[in-house]
This record gives sequence, C-alpha cells and structure tokens, in this order.
Amino acid sequence: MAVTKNIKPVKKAVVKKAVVKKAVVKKAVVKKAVAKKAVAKKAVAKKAVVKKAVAKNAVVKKAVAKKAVPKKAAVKKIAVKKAAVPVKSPKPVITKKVTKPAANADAINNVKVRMYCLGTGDCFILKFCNGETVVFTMMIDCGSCQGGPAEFEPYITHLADYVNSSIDLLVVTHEHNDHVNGFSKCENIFKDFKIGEAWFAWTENPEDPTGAAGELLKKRSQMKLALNNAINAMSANSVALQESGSDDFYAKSSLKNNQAFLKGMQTLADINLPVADGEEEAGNAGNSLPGMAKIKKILQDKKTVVQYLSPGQTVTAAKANGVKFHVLGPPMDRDHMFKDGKEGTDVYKKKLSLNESSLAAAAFLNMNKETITDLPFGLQFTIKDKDETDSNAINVQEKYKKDDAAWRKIDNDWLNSAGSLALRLNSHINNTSLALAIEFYGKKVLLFPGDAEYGSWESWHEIEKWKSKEPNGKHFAEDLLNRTVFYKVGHHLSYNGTALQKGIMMMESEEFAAMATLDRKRISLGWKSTMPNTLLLQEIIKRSKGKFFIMNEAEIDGGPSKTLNPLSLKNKAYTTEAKPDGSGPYYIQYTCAVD
Amino acid sequence: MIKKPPFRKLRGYAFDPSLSLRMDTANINDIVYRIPWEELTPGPSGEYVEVIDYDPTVNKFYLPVNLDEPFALVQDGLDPSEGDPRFHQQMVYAASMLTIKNFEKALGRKILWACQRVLDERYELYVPKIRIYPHAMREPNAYYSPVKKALLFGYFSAAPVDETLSMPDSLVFTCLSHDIIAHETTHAILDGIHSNYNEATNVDMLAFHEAFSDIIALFQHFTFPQVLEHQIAKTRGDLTTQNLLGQLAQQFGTAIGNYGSLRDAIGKADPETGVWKLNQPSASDYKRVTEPHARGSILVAAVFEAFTSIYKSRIGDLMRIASGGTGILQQGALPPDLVKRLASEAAKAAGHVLNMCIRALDYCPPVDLNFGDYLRAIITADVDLISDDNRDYRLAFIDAFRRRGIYPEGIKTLSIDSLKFPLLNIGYLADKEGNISQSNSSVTVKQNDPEEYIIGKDTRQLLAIINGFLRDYGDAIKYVSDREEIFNITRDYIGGKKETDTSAEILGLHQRIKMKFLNSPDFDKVTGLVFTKDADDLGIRKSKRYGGPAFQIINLRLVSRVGPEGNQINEVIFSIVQKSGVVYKDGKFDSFYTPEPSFDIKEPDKELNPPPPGGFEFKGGCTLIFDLDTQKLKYAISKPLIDLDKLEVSDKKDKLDINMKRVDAQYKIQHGTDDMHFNEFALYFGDGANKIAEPFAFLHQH
Repeated sequence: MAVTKNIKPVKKAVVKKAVVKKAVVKKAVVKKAVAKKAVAKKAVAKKAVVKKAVAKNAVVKKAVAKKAVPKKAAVKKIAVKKAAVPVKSPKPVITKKVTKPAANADAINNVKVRMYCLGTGDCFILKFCNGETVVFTMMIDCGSCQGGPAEFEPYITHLADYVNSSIDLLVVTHEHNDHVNGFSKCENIFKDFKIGEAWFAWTENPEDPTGAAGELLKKRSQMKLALNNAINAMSANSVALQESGSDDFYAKSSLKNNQAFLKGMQTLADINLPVADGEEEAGNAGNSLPGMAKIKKILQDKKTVVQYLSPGQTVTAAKANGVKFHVLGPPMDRDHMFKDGKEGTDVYKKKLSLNESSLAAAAFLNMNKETITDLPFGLQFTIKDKDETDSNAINVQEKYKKDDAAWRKIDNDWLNSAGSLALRLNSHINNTSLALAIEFYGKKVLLFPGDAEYGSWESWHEIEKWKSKEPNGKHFAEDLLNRTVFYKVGHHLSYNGTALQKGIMMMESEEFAAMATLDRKRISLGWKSTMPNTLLLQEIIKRSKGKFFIMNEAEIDGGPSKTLNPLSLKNKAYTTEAKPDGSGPYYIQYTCAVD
Repeated sequence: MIKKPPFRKLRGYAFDPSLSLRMDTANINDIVYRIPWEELTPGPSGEYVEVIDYDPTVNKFYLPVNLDEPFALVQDGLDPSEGDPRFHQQMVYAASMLTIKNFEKALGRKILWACQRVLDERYELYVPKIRIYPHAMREPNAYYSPVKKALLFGYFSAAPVDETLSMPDSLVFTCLSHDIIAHETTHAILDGIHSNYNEATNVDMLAFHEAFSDIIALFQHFTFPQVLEHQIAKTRGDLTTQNLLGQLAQQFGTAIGNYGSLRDAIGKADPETGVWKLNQPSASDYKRVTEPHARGSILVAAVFEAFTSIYKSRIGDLMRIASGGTGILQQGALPPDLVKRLASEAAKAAGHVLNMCIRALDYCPPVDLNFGDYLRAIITADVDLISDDNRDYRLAFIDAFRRRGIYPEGIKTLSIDSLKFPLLNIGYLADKEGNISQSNSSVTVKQNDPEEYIIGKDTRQLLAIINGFLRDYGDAIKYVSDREEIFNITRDYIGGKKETDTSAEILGLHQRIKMKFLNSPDFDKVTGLVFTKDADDLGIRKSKRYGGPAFQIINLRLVSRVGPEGNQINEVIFSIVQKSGVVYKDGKFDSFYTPEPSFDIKEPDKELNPPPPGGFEFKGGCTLIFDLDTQKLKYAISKPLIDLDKLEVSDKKDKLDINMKRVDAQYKIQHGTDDMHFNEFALYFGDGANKIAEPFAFLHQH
C-alpha cells in the first residue's frame, strides 16, 4: 500500500510539469513515451491524459477568443484517442525527482477559500492565486437561513468589493434558500456583476434531453404544493387549539407539541418553499425559489454561458490552468436520489427510510377540493351525508363527534405525515446538489459537495467511467477523497450531510482542513437539534488536527479552536475581518497550498 | 332457550394479507379467531375497545360492521378482504381482543387502560375503552396515542426493494396485520400498567416498550395451532431456522423496502443478497445500539432464545424416541403425530415464557426500568411462584441475557440467588392497630430474625398497620369483576373517601403513608425515597398539610396466582413515585428547585411555575410487594431517589443525598450529550426527547 501511495504523487508531478511547459514540451514527452512504450504502457495512458487536458485548455481559450470552435468535437476526438490506448499494464518505475511547477505568472499555487459569515448557509469566494496574484475567481452559492436584504447587504457589498464585481465562474449547488436567497435579497448588486461562466447541476436543466430533470422538477413542485397545504392546515389547527382552551390535561402538552412540530415544519418550509420568504405571493408554493429564479434571470440577461453538469464529467475553466473540476453529483438515477444510508457504517445517524409519501401527498393536494378522487375503498363503503336512515352510520358519527369525547378526535394527527414529506423533499433537494472535486495538477483536491446526502455520496463511488481509473485499483472517487486537502462540510455539520465510510473516513490527507457553514446564533430553529452532530464534529477535528473552521463556534461544545488556535497558523493561512458594528466577522478565510 | 356461546368466532389473518397470496402459507393464514363472547354494537364496540372507522385524510366515515347480523354470525364474520373496510374493522377488533384476553390470562387480573387526566378536582377519569381508528393516516406507521387513549393505524402505498416481493404502489393497510395490531394493543396495555414507561429516562426505556410489545405479538403466533404445526413441520422441529413464528409484519416489511419481515427475532435477510442468516448474539450491540427498535430487538432476541432453549430441552426425549435413540431424524417430512406432539410442546413452552414475561411486570420498578432490572423481575416473579424449577427455565433466561451482555447493575455475582431481588420479609401478623394478632399469639416479634431485613421496631409496626389496610383492600376487591368498579375502589383506597350513606369512610393509603413515615428514616432506606419530615431540601415539594415530602401512589393492585404445585400467592402491590427538581448548568449539577404543578385547577388556562433554565424533573420510585398471608413486606424494588450507598457508609445516618449517579445518567440521555434521539423525525419535530406527548407516533416513523 505504502509503495503505491508514494509513487502516485511523483507521477502527477511529471504530468504537472508537462502542463506548465505547454504544448511544445507535450510533444516531446509524448515522443519519449512512445519510445518507452514497450516497457511502460501505463505511462502512455498518462500522457494521453496530459494531452487531453492541454488540448482542452487550448480549445477553451480559443472558444473564449472566437466563440466559434465547437467544444464537443474536440472532446470527442480526445475520447477516441484515449480509448485507443491500452490501459492495463504493470506500473512503471519512475525515478524522476519531483519538481515544483515553474513560477509562471499564472501558475496557481494557492487557493484562498473565503466563507462569508451570513449566518447558517453557504456563500463562498475562491481565489485561485499565484502567490498573491489572483488568477481565477470562483463563487459558490449565496444564502443564509436568516436575515433580510438589510442584513445581507453589508456582506454582499463587501464581497462585491473583494472580487471587484467580477467573477470568472459562478456555481450554484442546489435550490435551497440557505444557498440561493442572497441572489434575490441583493439582486441589484449581482446585476452589476461580470460573470464569466455559470455551472448548475443537470437537475436544473429545463431542457435536459433525458427528461429526467423535468420530471424531478415537476415532482418537486407537487411536493411543495402538498407541503404548503399541510403547513397551512397545521397552523390553522394550532390556532384553533390555542383558542379552544380545553379543560383536558393533555390539551396543553398537545398544544406544545403541536407548536414544536410546526417549528420543525417552518424550518423545512423556510429552506424549501418560496412563500416563506415573504417576498412572493401565496399560492406560488410550487414554483422555484426566488433566489434561484433571480440568478437564472440575471445570467440569462447577461447572456452568460451556462453549463449543466452531470456526474463523471470533468470540466476545465479558462484561466485556471492545471485545474480540473470533477463532477461527483447529483446522481443520475432516482434510486440514489432517494437512498438512505445505514447508521454506523454509512452515516452517523440513520435518516428515515420512508418511501415516497405519495399517498399522503395526494391527500394534501386534495385538501381544498370539493370531490375526493383517491379513496382507498369503493364509494359504497363510505357513509354519505344522506345516509340518515341507517342508524348504525349515524351512531358511529355521533360517537366520534360527541363533545365529551372531543379529546379523542384524530382530525389533525394525520397532518404529521407532512413531516415525513417535508424531510423527504428536503433530502431530495439536498441530493440534487452539484458536488465538485477541484483537482490541482492531478494532486490536491478541494471538495465542495453542496449539501449532498448519503445517496449522492454513495453514487460517486459507482460512477462507471471512473471505475478502476486509478493505477492502484481504486475508484477515482475514492482516490479524490483520499487526496482531499480541503472539505466544505456538507449540510452545516448535520449527521446526514457527510457519508461515513464512503466519505469522511476516506479523507486521509495529512494536510486535510475543513470549513463548516454553521452558526447556531443564526439558524432555523428546527435545525438546532441536528447541527452539529457531535460524532462528526469530533471526527473532522481529529482528521484536520484542528484545522477546522466553523462560521461561529458559539454553543458548540468542544469546538475545533480548543484543539488549535487558528490564529497560530503560519503564513496567514487563516484570516478574518471583523464587521465595524461588532456583529462578528465578515468572513473567515483559509488559504490552501495547492502546488 | 339457547345458552350464551362462550366464543364469538371471527375470521381473520394469522399474519397479514400478503401471506394469503403465497402458495405455501395461504391455507394457514386464514384462521378463525375465538374471542370470548361479549355484547357488541356496530363498530364494533365492546367492553374494552371501540372501533371508529373515520378517515380524516378524506374526511369520510366508513360503514361500521355489525357483527351481530345473522349472516355475519353464521359464517364467522366477514370474509377476509382488503377492499372492504368492514373486514378491517373486524380484524382489528379480533386481533386486539385476542391480545387483551391472552394478557389477562397471564396476568391473572383484568386490565385497565391508563386513565384520562383532567384539570379539575376529579383529577383522573376512568377510560373504559380504547379507541381504534383503522384508517387514521396515510403513512407507513401505526401507533398508540397515550393522549387520546387510541390506536391509530395508517395505510400507504408499497415501495418494495424488489418488485417480485410485492406489488409496487399497492395499498398496504397496517390494520390488517395481526402483528402490528397486537404490538400496538400491547403498548396501550403496558401504558395502563406502567404509565411512566413512556418517559425516556434511560436508553432502555422506550426500547423496552417496543420489545415488550414485540414479545407479546410473537408469542401470540404460538396460540394458532395450524400455524404452529405448519411451521414445525416445515422446519422439522427446529425453530432456530427461518420460520414465520419468529417474524413480525411481513407485508409491512417488504412494502417499506426490506427483504422480509419488519423484525425477526432469530435472523435477518442480508441487505445485499437478500439471503436469510441466523443472528449471532453479540455483547457489543447492547452497549452500542440506542435506537429503540433496534435496542428492543436485543431483548426480544434474548427472550426468544430463552424460549428456544426451553423448547429444545422439552422435546429432547421426543426426538430421541422418534429417531430410535440417535437424535437424528430421518430425512423427509416428519410424521404428523410427531408434529402434533412437538407443536404441543412448543405451545406449552411459549405459554410459559410468555407468562414469565408478563408476570414480571408486577416486579418492576415504576420508573427508569432497564433490561437488567427486567431480568431480575422475571427471575424474582418466577422464584416467588414456582419453587422447583426442574426444567431450568430461569437458567435459560439468564443464559440468553448473558449471551447478549445484558447484566443488571449492582449485583456481585450472576446467579439465580443474586438476581432475585432481596427478600425483605418485614412485618408480622397483626391487627389493624399493628398489635400482634390474638389468634397468632404464638408468633413473637423477633428483633433480629436472621431472615429479616434489619429495621427499627417502629417502622416494623407501621408497615404492619399498612399491611392490615392492604388486607382490607384485598378483601374489598377480591370478587369484583366489573372493571369500572375495580378502578373506583382502587382509587378510593389510594386517595381516601368520605363517608356516605352506603359506605364507610376510608382513610387513603396515600395519607396513611404520609402521616406514618414522617419520622421513619428506616422507611427512607427501604424505599430509596424521602418520607421524613425534616430531611434536607432535595428539590422535593413539601406536602402542605403534613409538611413531609410529596409523592404519588400508583398501580395499587391485588395479585393472586396459583403455582404449578397448587401453592397460592396473595399479594398487594403498589408503587410510589417521587420527583425532585434539579438544575444543571454547563453540563454539571448546580442546584435544586421545587417542581410545582404546572397548572391550577381554578385557572386551567394559566401556565404556572415553569422549571428554571436548565431545570428538569428527576424521578425515583419504588414498587412495594406485600404478602397478605404473612403480612410481611416481601420486596421493595427501588430506583432510589437518594444515594443509598452513601447513606450506608455515612456517619450521619439521617443525612440524605440525591442519587447523583442516576441524575447524571438521566441528564446525559435527555440533554443530548449522549445523542439519544431516536430518529430524524423526532429531531425536527419533537420538543426534546423527554417531552414528547406522542412518543409512539415519533418512534414508529420508519
């Protein structure tokens, strides 16, 4: 094991060198490789990769310049070439020394990951730098659980200033308010942004050729409507309970529980439903979130190039030489979209293995309708309003409606199914997160999984294209996780945002560091009980040796700063800037060496 | 004139509808339930349960079944049918009544449902019937609601992992599964006996509720003769191989995406391959698993293993006879006679095991039970009734628990003797004033009877007086069979009753204990609770009238059982629960507060006395078992509120301290440091694990 591990970076270094030296060198290398072909076929395969990357870069550059060269054609060509090269063969022994990339002006050697502290929710700026010179700027998401435009503005103004209102690449991971609502709350600031390119998950593509995205969107919209109906009914019930002032001992505890339940529902509604935003009219519950709609509109107006990415794709970006963006998720098949992990081995805590609550959803959708179409039994078995002659029928109804038995009525208990529905919707949308592994020179990896849950994590390891792609027989996804030096913790440190054996346990880099967008002072109430998951928190602290930065450590027992004072990190690896009004920092920034 | 029939026969599923679709099980799945005859009104509604078929998801009532209709009577009720709600009503009625009757048989007395709490001076009201709503929601869930005293069953569309196992999107009704009905009914029965077991004061508490309900449902399979014989024949008498008897909720299990039943006490299907494997007991499970169902299944597996070893030892001779002494049976099907004999042994063993499990409930502490305590209760209850354990039933239990690493706390060695709760035997035959009965004047009060717990003379006398009072209670209730009357008499004996034209005044048990033990530190020691008047402040509310600490008496009951040797036990059992308010700051004990009632009868709308920040209630409790024949206090089974170990070694014998070990444990469980939340659903929608009014609604989220 140890041997394979040691060899890999060496090889990558060779590749990297090749990239730096560019096209001229490339040819030479390839020739050399051909000469050696008989001895080390493997090396040839590697060269092909080099070629692909370089070629692609060239194409992209051209595309930027002329916008004429069809990208797909170029990629195809490479694919053919690659296929022609046999892959399986013993490993070559490489004795060359590792050399650092030449100090070119645009050779990226560090990434400044800046987390804006808007409250629980994601908003990241990544600056890919050579020393202090910025080569490439990337933005990932913009949202928070709490706060209106006024609260958002200082941060977003600061952000705009920081990037000079210009970003090369915008990534929007998924449609949850804590990831997108900044785009609508500070719409005007973003309108003035220069945005080079924007990436979304394939699930956001309205013209997805398979039709799968459309189907998902439709289902999502139905679920949202159902949920909205259920929440309205529950709130009405809560009010009624409060007003009834029943003399039953349990009325109070019922009311309390009802309110606790509503609180949980509200949290999920805040994240998932547009109506809760207060900016939209009621009745639009099935629509997409205002933040998502706004940013798509802005991009459309700007005629920004938008890409919808699918797992297994590897994308490059202009200017970011030597950097590959590997798309891990969202999964393409619905099995993974709805899959749960086993507690202990897969995730820290099992989530509901509840299957589609379609029947309940149908009932919620039917709630305000005159005629009900989906009875579980034939109509002849129901008691009709006219059944006044049937004494049995009357007796049963009277028994149920009797005043002194009101405490035993079950009119509203079934609404609690909305809880499962909401969780399901929530986790489904989390699993549509665009999960990216950003790889530098075939070596170090920054992992941004959005809020992907277990089903998505598992699917990464099953991407067909990447099977035994690595010389050591590992699946490429596993290899990426092994090399991860920076991890944006999924779903604000909750138990379901990070896979266990197929996730955190594979992140074994010595340089591993992590960031979590959790602020228990600014969070939806219902999340307080799930974030952070103590076991996960401790595992990340252990693996990162304390290089773990949480938006706000308040109310977190045994936070990472107890293990390591971030200010003690050398070379200004950790920086932060306090807001003048004393309400905490604008941002927390960590600089990752990637060379 | 025709006599009233002893039974009402009703057709139903032995398991659930899915087994009627399988060739090998179809003919054993349709069975006839024999329910003791009772008058029914359409619904059906009888003495214990009333079925109301209202479906709130579509806002419709379904037609109620009238089981007294001639056509229903002559053909044993309605045909099993998934499409007719009236059959659903018949099924829930039959399966729930069977569970209730089996339970009563083992318990030896009528069961009462948990009472309704009201906000006036009546305080508690009698609940004659639980309600059953067969179609109450649309989700894969069914639960007992302690608030509404009702069973709610859901229905949902199936989403099987393998489409060959069940039809995708077909409707699945939880109210058609015998196992689910028996399970939920048992929740309700257990709540009526031990109402504090809904509170998650330790990891075992909710798990116990689940496990116990599963145990009842499982062992009920053994009361269906065709099923039993069929499965014995199929497994060739080896019940440790895959069989239906040890499985629960087949249809539900496959419909929510399992490879087989929802739970299985013997083995499980491998999640990857779907192949069934025998479970291997492991001690680490009990340490690690906290989810109530998973944890509960450890207890279920232990009890089931105790059963299979008893069964094996019982059929050893039969197997030898049938195999010509070799013990190795011939290939092929077993002879029908042998199957019948094996089945009868299995039924007997199952009946005994079930009886042991149910009887043990009377020997459990009223709060904070764990699996180890339950094992001790099983052993103690059995030793009490059966002096000669010639078939080693108790060993079978101890062995099965040991193999799963379940050990009671605070015992020095593992043996029947040390597992049995210590016999106190305090008291003597006395008249109502505590004087030695004239008729038994030969009995002298020995101060240092080696068989007796050492205790002061005053306290002995007080206990004798209490015992005399309990005898009265026993006499008053002995021949009463009306459940409401049992409830009323018991309530009067606990709370007291003023004189009326027809009955004399009763000074209640509660008041007697309050008055008598004000100056008895010995009683504090016996019970682990605080009764002495001038004890230090331990966060216990003081009684306004007597100045002593407040407490609650629950579960006063008369237990009469006849052992296999014709011996009889007559005991009166009751439990005392006491609570203390403790405040935690930064994860550490800080101070006490006095928990006051959260409402005033006169102003029910106003919320009073919320606990201070970081404050929670800590409960101690003790179950006292008095022998009516010898008039002695036999056992005091305690979850002490005070620190008894410290009291033992302390110089100041009257200085009481709170039991920090238990407080800390409860704090950790209820306030998150142990991460004891049973599922995501509860995390989002609960009000903290300790305050959920509908614990089972949350718990059963699959």
